[in-house]
Amino acid sequence: MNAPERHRSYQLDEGQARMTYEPDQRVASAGTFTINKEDHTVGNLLRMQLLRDGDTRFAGYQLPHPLEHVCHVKVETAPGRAPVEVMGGAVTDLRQEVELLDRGFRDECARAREEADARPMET
Amino acid sequence: MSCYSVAADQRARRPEVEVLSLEENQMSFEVKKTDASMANALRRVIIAEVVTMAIDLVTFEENTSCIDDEIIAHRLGLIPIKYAFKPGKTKLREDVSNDEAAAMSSERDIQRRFRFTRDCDCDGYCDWCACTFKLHVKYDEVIKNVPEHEKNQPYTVTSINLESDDPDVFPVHFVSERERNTSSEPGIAIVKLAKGQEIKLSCIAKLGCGKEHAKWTPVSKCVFRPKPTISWDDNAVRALPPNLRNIIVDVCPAGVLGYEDERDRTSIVVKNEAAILDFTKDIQDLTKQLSPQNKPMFHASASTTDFVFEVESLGGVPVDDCVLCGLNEIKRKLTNLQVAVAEVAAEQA
Ligand SMILES: [Zn+2]
Repeated sequence: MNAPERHRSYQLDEGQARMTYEPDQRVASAGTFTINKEDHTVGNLLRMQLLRDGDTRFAGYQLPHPLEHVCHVKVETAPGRAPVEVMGGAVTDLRQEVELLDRGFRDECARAREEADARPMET
Repeated sequence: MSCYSVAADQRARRPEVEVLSLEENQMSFEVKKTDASMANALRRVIIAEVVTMAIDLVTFEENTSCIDDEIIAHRLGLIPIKYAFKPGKTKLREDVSNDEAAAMSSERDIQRRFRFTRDCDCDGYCDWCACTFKLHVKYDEVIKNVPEHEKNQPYTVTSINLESDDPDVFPVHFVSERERNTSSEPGIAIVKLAKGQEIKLSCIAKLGCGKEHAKWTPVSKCVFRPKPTISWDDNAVRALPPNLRNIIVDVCPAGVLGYEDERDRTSIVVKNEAAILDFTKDIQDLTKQLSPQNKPMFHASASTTDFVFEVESLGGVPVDDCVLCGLNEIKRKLTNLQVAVAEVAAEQA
């Protein structure tokens, strides 16, 4: 029985960092973020958010291999703003958006329940 | 320049949610002013990353039924397990820090009560990371309580024969009251026993998520579709003779198009938004032919910002909690990334 443990696909290994950054050797203000134990969920979310930033020249993501639980996000930015800075902005913007979604969803469920209670029972 | 570029203050979206229907085990809601990547992230986490409980280890003591042990173990794994939080009565984990507790979707979150076995310091499993179920059915015993006319029939062992050792955790027999009233069996069928047969086993249920195995997925359905933007050239439609309006309605399958007012029959409306995008071209081609100016009277396009979700729970986690836990999972991921980016930035500086 040498199968890897099932949770290895989403839990960080002992001492593993969530994210590492490798600046591009040839292009200035470009680099690749390696996000461990994440997949399309986060990869595509970040890519689309990065593209909303006017200083982003290129943003793309890739899962190198289905058995490696790693997501690469490549970013090139306008000179003057580092990829790390743009990435930080994208993550913060997304975090804010989910907070709003969460609040909106809770309020709406409460409203839907109130309305259901106010309606006379169907017989 | 990217076609997506937006001014800095408009980068962050301000989404809105509208619940369209909320029932016992299913719901439908709309998210507006967001992006397909966010809608898809939500769909993916609800299916694969919401933490639930499922039977993961089965020890057989006796199985003389005609079904193999591994098939029965697999069937047991697929039974949804419900964790019902009872305020004041449920013993909650004490090792959860305030930050961790605040990061959970609510007190109803199963992780307030259980931890993952791999995070537990016990040996194998314990009350804080697992729940035990026992199943013991002997045909010759149970058949005594069965009505006379059913005595020569095999006995169906179902989820109601599973005995939980935790008052807050139990198997789900039916997803809804309606299913309970229409089912011919008292729960989820596991195996059938004939005369002289017996089954005796114990199960360990543990926490997990859909990424590990589909049995931990809390939903049987979680889909989204873009909301269509629809416009009609009402004047042109009204100018048509009634029989041509009928032809337009009939170009789609029944129920997709209809009249705004059944008696008046002058303006056509879309009755089924979910299906309309599949027939947009047919309606456009037809109305173009019927139009004196050779102009289509109908336009429909998929929104890139508004999405309609439909979610159906399996009964283990209430349907609105499935979505809340999903949102919470994205939040947790992004919070981790915020910390990680800050670390990378500090390294680069
Ligand atoms: Zn334990």
